Amino acid sequence: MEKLKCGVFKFTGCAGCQMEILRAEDALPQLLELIEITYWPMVTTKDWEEDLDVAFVEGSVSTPREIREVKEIRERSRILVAFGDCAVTGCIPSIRNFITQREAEKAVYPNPIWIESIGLRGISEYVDVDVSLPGCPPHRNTILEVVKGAVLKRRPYLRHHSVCVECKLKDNGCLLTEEKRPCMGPVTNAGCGAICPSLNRVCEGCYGPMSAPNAESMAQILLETGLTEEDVKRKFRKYAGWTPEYRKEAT
Amino acid sequence: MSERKINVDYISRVEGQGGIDLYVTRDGELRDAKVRIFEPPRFFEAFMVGRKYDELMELAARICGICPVSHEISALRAVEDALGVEVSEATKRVRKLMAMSALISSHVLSVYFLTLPDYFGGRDLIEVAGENPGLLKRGLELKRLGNDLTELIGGRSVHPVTAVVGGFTNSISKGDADAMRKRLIEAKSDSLETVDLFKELDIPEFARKCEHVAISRPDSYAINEGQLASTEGIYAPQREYRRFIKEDQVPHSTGKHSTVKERESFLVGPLARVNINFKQLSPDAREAAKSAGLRVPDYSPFRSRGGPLHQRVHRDLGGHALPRGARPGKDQGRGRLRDHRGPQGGQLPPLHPEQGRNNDEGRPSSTDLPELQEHGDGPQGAGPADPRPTGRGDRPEVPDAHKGLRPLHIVLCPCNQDPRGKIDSGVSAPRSSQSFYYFFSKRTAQTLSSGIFDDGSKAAFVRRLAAASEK
Repeated sequence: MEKLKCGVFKFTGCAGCQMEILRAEDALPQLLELIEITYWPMVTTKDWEEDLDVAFVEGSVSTPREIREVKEIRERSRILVAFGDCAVTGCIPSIRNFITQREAEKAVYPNPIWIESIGLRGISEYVDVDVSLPGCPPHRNTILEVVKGAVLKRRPYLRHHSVCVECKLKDNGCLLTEEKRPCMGPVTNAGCGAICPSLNRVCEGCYGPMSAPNAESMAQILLETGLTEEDVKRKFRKYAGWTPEYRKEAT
Repeated sequence: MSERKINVDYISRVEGQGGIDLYVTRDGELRDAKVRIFEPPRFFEAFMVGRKYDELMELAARICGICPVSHEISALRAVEDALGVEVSEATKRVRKLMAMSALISSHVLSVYFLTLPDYFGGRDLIEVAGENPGLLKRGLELKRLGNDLTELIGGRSVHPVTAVVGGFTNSISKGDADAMRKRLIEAKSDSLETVDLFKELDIPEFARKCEHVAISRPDSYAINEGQLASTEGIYAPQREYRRFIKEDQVPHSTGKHSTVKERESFLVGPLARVNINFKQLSPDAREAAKSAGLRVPDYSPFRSRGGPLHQRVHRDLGGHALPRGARPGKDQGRGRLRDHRGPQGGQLPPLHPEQGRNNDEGRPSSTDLPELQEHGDGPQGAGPADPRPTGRGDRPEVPDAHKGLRPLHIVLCPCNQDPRGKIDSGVSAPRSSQSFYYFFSKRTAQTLSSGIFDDGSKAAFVRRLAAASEK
């Protein structure tokens, strides 16, 4: 069987998703029998020459150069994976979309004139995406599932339901209904294995919105836990405030 | 005119995006070198303003996916410093352990995955592993060890979740801690083999003397907490780093350039830490470093190895960081607010008298620094007490958390519920006014205020405090 040609690209992001690939330590040697890493600048010194079967794009698009690059990657890859929250929703850096570019630049740089930056977007703003792999970072098992799907030529089995399902599967008590703590689980996409609620921390929503969340109702419930409207806005304006699902609550 | 430009578009096997331009004369003399960081800016400094105190560590962690732990712990400590929250000794230890776990995985990544392929002439570790299968295995094993320890404490290795203001949300079971301890001790041989590996490699002889900066403390190898120290004589509280270090922007890079004020660029990282804190390393680690040819202070960037740190962790695990039977997270949330008790009658408490701190008296001249070349002084702790001033001074009446905060702003938070009775740990709450006082520096107040002072978050904060004080 011919090995799948895979590439990993970094855009505006923190490289944590790439680290999560390396976190699949046990599976890596076996994985390398199925795929060939054709381009991955953080790990290997190879120019990108061949077209790809699977391109993992980590990070958001926030410069004109990245727009050109993401389009080229789309053109030259069979399966394009929006790899992690930044690529899917913009993640935490998307909070800055709610302030002007000028303010953001002035807060950081004494000479904003040298900075070339535009509003931060997930890559699906610019190109068609075949697989959206949410998470900050996506769990390594979901990464393996995407590769597995590509190898077997089927859609990867990814969860599109809320974190609550995984939480119940783990037999956790409900932080929201029992303890009245402001948990974002009911609207947040699953895949993490309900890490936070299992460790006595409310879900902060780092996997972004689930499929068709009821954000308006969630906002109401959060208010009932004692949060203010400002708090609720901040909750939604964190990992995915710029998505259509959360935009209304985040603004 | 007669210059050539040698250009690397995109440096591979580093974290982050950058290139290098070298300007070389026809005679081969290097005229200039520019590191172009084209990593797109994400403007953390801008969008973190106005966020709430309990989410800042979560945001800061996302600065880097390789070292989220450092950013997370730094953010937590900054917030706790601003709020006057003092965490328990156990929390400090677990945070230290967490930081060390991140050092292990980060250094192993750097050494095995990013650096080694160059010495073996391969494009990546996978290619190198074709002829040296043991390397990939050992690299992965060591990296997994660090990551697993982070995950044990933090819930996951990239952007851990359990560390919150005041402590941890959960605790490690004794069984898990013991199992981890066993694994760490077993991995010591792998660490030493890594050191041995570098003895055999052909490491370029090159030294560039520059100022090395790290945190340091007399009693132990500084992780998370210590004084800002340098090989050129800086020795000051961490929060005063802006007195010594400045940031500038250059046109060819989105990464800002830091320099020591009125001096030059400086080096941070493992080599700087080891150079400055060599005496505080465990004897094993010192032995390993010396056997690998490290002569402190060593200015060869090629020797920037993290190896010695592995043994640190063993020592600490065996010694004190994770005492047997300790449940490190047990006192989670028991952060204690420092003594800000307002006088009865609702008057504002007096500002502490040390408004004019920030002088140089806590800072030794470079001659006061320990002789860095001397490193055979027996096991740590056996030597005489370090003569360096601790920087804390003889001012017991000033809470440490407030040193350097200037000007001091006192913010009055009218609060609907009287927390007294629930909170017994020194929070000011004059019954008559049913109010809370928080103390902030102006900057902190600006950063945190929109998060702290609205009603809901205030109520949440009160609840948190109440929960924290319940044993």
